[in-house]
Amino acid sequence: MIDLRIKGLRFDYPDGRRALDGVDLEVERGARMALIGRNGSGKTTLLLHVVGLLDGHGEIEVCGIPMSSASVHDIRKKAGYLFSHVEYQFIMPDLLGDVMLGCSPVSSSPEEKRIKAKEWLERFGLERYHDRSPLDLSSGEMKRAALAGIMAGDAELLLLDEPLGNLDREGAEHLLSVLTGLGRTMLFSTHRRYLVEKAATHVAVMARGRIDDVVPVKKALRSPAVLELIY
Amino acid sequence: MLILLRPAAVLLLAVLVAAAPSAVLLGASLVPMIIVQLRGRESLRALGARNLPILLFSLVFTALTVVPGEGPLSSKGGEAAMTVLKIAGVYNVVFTGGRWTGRRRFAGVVGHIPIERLRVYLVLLQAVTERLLRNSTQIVRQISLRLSTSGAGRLAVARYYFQNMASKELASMRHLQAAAILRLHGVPGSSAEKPRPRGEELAAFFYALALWAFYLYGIIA
Repeated sequence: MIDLRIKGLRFDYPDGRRALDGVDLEVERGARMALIGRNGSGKTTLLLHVVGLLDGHGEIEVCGIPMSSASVHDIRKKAGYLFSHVEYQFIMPDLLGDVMLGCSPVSSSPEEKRIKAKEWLERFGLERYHDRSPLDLSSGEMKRAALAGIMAGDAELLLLDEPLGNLDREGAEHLLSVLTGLGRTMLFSTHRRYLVEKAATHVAVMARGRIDDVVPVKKALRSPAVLELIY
Repeated sequence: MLILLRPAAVLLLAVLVAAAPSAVLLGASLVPMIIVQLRGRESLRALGARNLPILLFSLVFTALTVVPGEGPLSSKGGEAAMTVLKIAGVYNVVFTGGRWTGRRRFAGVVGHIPIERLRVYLVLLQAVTERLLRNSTQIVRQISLRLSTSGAGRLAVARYYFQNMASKELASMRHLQAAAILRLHGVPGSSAEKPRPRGEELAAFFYALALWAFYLYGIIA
C-alpha cells in the first residue's frame, strides 16, 4: 500500500523561480523516507505541498485520498506536519490544551480528549509539563510536544521538516527513539547523517526541484553523492 | 460556570478600583490582590520594577491634568493622587489577577464563548500576544548586545527595535497561520478539568460582590 504518491508536481515561486520541477515520489506504508538535498533544493516546498499549504501543478495522493480543495481537510487529518520552526506549531496556552487541540476524533468529549492527550504526553515523557506553556520547553521537549499533538490526531503519515534541527545528541537520541517507535509512515527532510542512519529505511535525493534518486538506506550510505549531502 | 469565578472576581475588583470614589474603597478593593501577590513568588524588587513604568506614566498623565487647572492646588493634588493610585491599582489587579486566573483558566473562559469564530480569534490573539512578548525580549537582548544604548545610540536602538519587531511579527504570523490551518480541525476548548470551587475563589468573589453592595447601599463611601 502506498501512503504518499506524487506525480509530476511543479511549483513556481511568485518571483518566477522554479521550486519544484516535476517531482515524482512514492512512499510505501511503514517506510521512513529521508529527503536529502542542498539548501534551496525544494525539500520544504515539497513537504508543504503534501498538506496543501502550497498549491502547485501535479497529482498528490495521501493515504488513498487525491488532493483537491474539497479533500484537503481530510488529508490534513491523515498527515501530521512537524515544522522546522517548531515553536510556531503551538497554539494553545498550555501543553495539555495544545495536545488536546489536535485530538482525534474531533467529536470526542473533552474528557476523552484529555485522557488521550495525557497518554501521549506520558509516552513522550512530558506529563510533568502538562500545565506549562509549550514555549517554555527546551528545543528537544518542544519537538516531542509537537509530535505528541500530531500523534494525538491519529496521523498516519508524518511529514517532518528538519526534525533534529537545534537538538543536541541526547535530545536527538530521545526524539529518534520516539520516532522509530511510532510505526508510522514518514517523510522527513534532513541534513543529518545520524538521522538517516538510525531512522530511515529509504533515501530520496532532491536537487534543483526534482527527485534524482530513491534508494534503500544501506545502498544510499555507500553512495558518495548521498554522503556529500549529509553530515 | 465555576471556571468563570476567578475572572469574574478579577473583573469586579478592577471595576471597583477604577470607579472607587474614596481611598477606603480603593484600598479595600486591592486587599484580595495583595493577598494573591503575597502568596506568589514575585520579589518586592520585581514588583517595584514592574510598577515603576506604570507609576511614571500615570504621574505624567495626571500631572498634565493638574497643571492647567484653576483653584487650590491641594484639592486638585488629592484628585490627581487618587488617579495615579487608581491607574496603578487597576494595572496590578489585572496583572496579578491574570496570574491567579492562569493560562488554563484563560482557555477555559474562552472555551465557554458560544461563538466559534470569536473563540478561535481569542485563542490566536493570545498565541500572537505571547509570541510578541517573547520576541520583544529577544530583540531587546540582541540590540543591547550589539548596539550602544547610551547617547545617540538610543535613537538607533528605537529604530532597529521597531524594524525587528515588525519583521519578526510578520514571520511569526505567517508560521502561526500555517499551524492554525493544519491543526484547527476542531473547536479549541479548555484543557482544564471540571473545576471544584475553592475557598479562595468563593471568598474573592463574594468579597468583591460585598464591596459593591456596601458601596451601592452607601455603607462605605
